[in-house]
Amino acid sequence: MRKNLICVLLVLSLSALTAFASGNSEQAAATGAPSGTVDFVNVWGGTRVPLMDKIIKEFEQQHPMITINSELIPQSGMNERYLTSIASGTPADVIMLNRNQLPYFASQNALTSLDSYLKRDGMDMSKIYYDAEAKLSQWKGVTYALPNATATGWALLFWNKTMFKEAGLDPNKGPQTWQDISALNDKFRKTSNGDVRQVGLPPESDPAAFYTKWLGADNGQFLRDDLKKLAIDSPESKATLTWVYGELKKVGGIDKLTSFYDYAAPNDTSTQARTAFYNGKAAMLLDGVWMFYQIPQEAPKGFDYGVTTIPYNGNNPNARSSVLVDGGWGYSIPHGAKHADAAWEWLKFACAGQGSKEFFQGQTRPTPIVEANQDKWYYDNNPYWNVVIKDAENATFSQPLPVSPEIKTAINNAIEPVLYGKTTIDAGLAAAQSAGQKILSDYWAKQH
Amino acid sequence: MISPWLLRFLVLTVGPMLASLYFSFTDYPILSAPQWTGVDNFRTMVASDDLFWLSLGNTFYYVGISVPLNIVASFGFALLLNRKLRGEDVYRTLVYLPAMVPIVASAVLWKWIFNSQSGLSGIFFHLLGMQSPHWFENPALSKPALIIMSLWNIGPPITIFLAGLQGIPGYLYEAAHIDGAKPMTQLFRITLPIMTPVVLFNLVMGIINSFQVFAPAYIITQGGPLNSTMFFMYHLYRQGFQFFKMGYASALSWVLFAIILLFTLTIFRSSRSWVFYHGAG
Amino acid sequence: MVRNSTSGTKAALGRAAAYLVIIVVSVLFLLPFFWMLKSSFQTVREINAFPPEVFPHHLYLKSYVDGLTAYLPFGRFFLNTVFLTIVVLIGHVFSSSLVAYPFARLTFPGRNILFVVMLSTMMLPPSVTLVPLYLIFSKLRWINTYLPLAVPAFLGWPFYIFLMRQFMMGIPEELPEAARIDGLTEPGIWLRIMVPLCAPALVSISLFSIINTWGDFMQPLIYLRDQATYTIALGLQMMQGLDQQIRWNDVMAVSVLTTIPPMLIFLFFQRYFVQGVTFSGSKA
Repeated sequence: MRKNLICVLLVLSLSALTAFASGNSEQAAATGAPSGTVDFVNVWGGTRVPLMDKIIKEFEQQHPMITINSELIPQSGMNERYLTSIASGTPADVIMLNRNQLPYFASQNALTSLDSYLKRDGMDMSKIYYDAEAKLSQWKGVTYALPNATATGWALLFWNKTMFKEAGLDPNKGPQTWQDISALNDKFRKTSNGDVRQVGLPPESDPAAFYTKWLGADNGQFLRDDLKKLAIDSPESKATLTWVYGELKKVGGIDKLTSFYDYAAPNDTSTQARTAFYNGKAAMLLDGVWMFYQIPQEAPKGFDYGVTTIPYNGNNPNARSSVLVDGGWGYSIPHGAKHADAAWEWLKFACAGQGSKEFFQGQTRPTPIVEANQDKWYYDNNPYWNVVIKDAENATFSQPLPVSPEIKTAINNAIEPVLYGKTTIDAGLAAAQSAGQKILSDYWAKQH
Repeated sequence: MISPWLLRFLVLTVGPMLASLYFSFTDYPILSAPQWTGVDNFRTMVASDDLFWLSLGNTFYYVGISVPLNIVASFGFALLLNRKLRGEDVYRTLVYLPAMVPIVASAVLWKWIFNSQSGLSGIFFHLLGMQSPHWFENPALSKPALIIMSLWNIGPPITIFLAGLQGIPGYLYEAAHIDGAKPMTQLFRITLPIMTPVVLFNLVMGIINSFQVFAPAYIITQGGPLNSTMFFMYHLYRQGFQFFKMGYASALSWVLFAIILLFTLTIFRSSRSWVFYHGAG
Repeated sequence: MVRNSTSGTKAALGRAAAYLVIIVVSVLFLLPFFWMLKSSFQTVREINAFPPEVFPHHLYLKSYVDGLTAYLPFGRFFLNTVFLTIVVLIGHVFSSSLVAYPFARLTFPGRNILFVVMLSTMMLPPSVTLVPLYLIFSKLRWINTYLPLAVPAFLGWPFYIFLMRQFMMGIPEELPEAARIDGLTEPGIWLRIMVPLCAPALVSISLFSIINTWGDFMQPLIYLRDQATYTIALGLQMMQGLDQQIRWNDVMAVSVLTTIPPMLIFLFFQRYFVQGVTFSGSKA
């Protein structure tokens, strides 16, 4: 009996210990010159491994006192890994974080501020990086990450030149406005026995698409400027959803779209729209800068394409070609990292210096660094480089908050019925606004 | 024999469980200390969380159909495999093959199988002269699709049933055969009664596991369409690891725990009347 | 176990029908593996091609070479996984048979309650115990070792304990009784009577344990820091890199290769153990 009681007490005290053990433990201050082994957790797996090895070697040659230990992890399980290691006070020295999660981690005091490092080394975020990139790396005015991959460059309009030519269109002229897209959709849409067999730009079936991809091109916002109100019920938002859903309806709704994808993209190993594009069943595609690298490898030989920045709403005089950006990979130094100074050197190299340039050039992708993107190499190797630059310069910054994932889920839950034809656009937007606003208001109420 | 094991077991297993029980009464963002909030989480669950009821309903639907289906299918197939067949080793390995396919491949693979045009579903319905329905994109058929998928995982129950069938003494059947008993009678009078402990096992494990169904919904349908595959465990996981509300997630998990425990205890209680242990109990 | 085998068309038809069902079901079960295999022999272009290619018309073997060499040290991962699997296997077999015995054959106060408590530890979703458990291991300084992955196996996994208990309860009391009269102690009874008679269950447990360890990537992901200690399942996940640039044929090639060892072990195990069991079980 006595033994059992001791057991129970032991268990309870251990449980209590674990409950309060999360949070930050005091670490001894880092010693002088940057040296040591930097544990660097990242998700640059697959084909990027050789590139990463290459730049790590270069860095170590330049910094003989520092060794970089690259810990590759898969994307699924990232949060589990970061949360457990930070909560137990044994974080890595550098973590690769999607900057839409930066507000959460920063507000939990889980990241080291980089301001003092920036000041010491005379670096001005707003001068090095594009405006949106710099802002996305900060929380409440303090910088907590250096941008690594761009937050931009994921929504470019590609079109199949061969299909345009065959349809009697100018193959060098892509759509500029939503209205252009609608006209092209009508032209390219082909049905057979009531089933859709070919489309222009594949319509969206994802309820989040209208506000993540297209809202920016209608001069819309996700949150209002004061960040306290959701802008999902704005006229711009309604116009965007109306257009997006309109194109879906023209194809016959989700049911017909699914049939189309089952037919045109049966092996769906990337995204269905992309596969349909490769197979010549879709004349256009909204996708990212990685396509410059993928198309030569995955599309049929001789695939001829054009690309332009995202088309905007021609009916809105204030609209221009722009995408709302609220994420993108960055490198951060967790609070409690053992080799913060050495980690900072790596950050500079990989996000603001030569490392960044080589790593992304090796993938024919842009960097978030203004100057690096002007490198002649890009212009020589990619005839559409000016499109990429324009996209980066035109991006609209959209502030992520710690509660953004929850808000977005609530919005998606309210909008999905609209796409399935179960409710009207107005009702859906109203429900989205009310559900999302509640979460937002609760968040702000807790901030005081 | 038990006490040292018991101590370590308590620390490594029961300890974290008690911790999470504590968390369920708190607001716990994981990266900072939990804040006590009393029964707030439970109140929110019942009064203002639509997905709580929806995901619970989805889960009950899944459990209610997949568990009986899986038990009948695996028992039936085990009976079939229990004969002296040529290549029986191969068949018994084959039923395990789907479990060995890496998760990585699952999403693409199953979409291919259920593809209404060129996948297995499309071909099957085409042979019947009909149009294949859409499965994962149809709110009414998404759960049935996942239930059908679950049949590919009956390797483990089949293996366990086979292990049980192998342990049935041969003389029982010989005696019955001499008495002139037909195969069906042998099945109901000899096989089934002796197999009841194994049936109990697969039933209880089936319940415990299927109430926690998560991976297929997470990987393939992301809870959709229209939250038709938003299972309780997915809802819980999202609250904890994507919204960082581990306190609320813990509260949800203990509700699930209570439900599973209730079902399990009820089954055990009922087992006194239908489970027959050959040896001493 | 002997099935009645009366001659005549009825029995033959029954057999044929059984075979047919088995073959059809087997083909269905083969589908996932077949898709993996076919994709591993295609180029990425062919995987996406329209109309879809069900049977690759030539064998593109480079994915196998690339998959294994161009990304990560899979040879190393393979050895790690084999090591871990064996250790965990020993733990599971040992602990499940040991802990199940008192639950099945001995009576002591609180036995049933303890059994339910043990079983109930499977009823709480692991998502919410992940962090506290990690913190415990962190305090023990077991992070970045195989200990958090191996030690729990020696403490027993309730699923296996439950299974062994069911089997042990099915063994007639006469056998251990006779052994007790002959002077065998409880541990002796456990080792010489219970364990051998539960061999089919142990084989099942072994197979499950191997499959689970082989395919688990979440545990290695959060507990291991040193890439040289990673396992195959984790390596496979890492091969995906970021969503946009997965080379599916390489991933499938490695998947095929990593599925083959467990498959072979399966076939081998069954042949070996089933023989032993059929002879001893029916003697009872």
